[in-house]
Amino acid sequence: MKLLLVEDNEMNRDMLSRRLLRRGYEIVMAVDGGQGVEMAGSELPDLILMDMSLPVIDGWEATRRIKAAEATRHIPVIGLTAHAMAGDREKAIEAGCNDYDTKPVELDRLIAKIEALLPGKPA
Amino acid sequence: MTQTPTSFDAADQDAAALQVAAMCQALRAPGAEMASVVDKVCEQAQARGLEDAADDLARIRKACARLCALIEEFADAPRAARENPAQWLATQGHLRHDLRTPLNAVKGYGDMLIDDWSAGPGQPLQDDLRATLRLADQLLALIATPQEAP
Repeated sequence: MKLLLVEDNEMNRDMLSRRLLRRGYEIVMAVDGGQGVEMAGSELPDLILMDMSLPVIDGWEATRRIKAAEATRHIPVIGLTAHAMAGDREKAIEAGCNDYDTKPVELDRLIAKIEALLPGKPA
Repeated sequence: MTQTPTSFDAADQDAAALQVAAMCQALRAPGAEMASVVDKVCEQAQARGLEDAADDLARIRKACARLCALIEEFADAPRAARENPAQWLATQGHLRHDLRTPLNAVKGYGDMLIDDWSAGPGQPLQDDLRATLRLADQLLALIATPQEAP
């Protein structure tokens, strides 16, 4: 299963991608929202993990664009943010995210959310 | 007319700065303990020739140093708020986020190393790594719960 990880922080990107690789996922990565939108279209991943605080265009706007495009709107998006603030979840869902999680990532919790959005698909 | 809101804002700022200072005081001891446990893990890993882990351990160590530097920087938040209010305002909004970022790294890389060291020469280092992760959780809990002003 191919996941697109959109994350600007090098350390977070390296860490999360390696942890997901170990769980058997195929990972492609983008470092900002613009590249995220572009790669959603070119890679057509099974699911997108979208950090919300991103340079160029932020995760909310990138999600809106992905969900507005015919070719990519079916791809589930999980929004990730470090600010566990009330309203963040609603804001992410409003932008089109199918689910939402907070950083630091609890890997098992995140994988449960990925699996819930992709039932029946093995990693 | 503007006097009341301005002084109210200043009092608010003071209270926020005091809260940050109190938080940093509370973070100091577990932060220093975490850094020293990590140093010990690094030394032992080197002694055991665990070269594959060197990069990840260096990242963990760097994250600990970053955290400790932030704690020291904001331990005297009330003075920073008085001396450079504009800069203080700009930083305080994302201070908790900035403190969480290195802890996020410690936890993520630490978890991976615990997996890697489930067997082989790294195994005896697992306990110290687990202690590191417990301290990271303790620090995250302190950052998550703003201490109420009396």
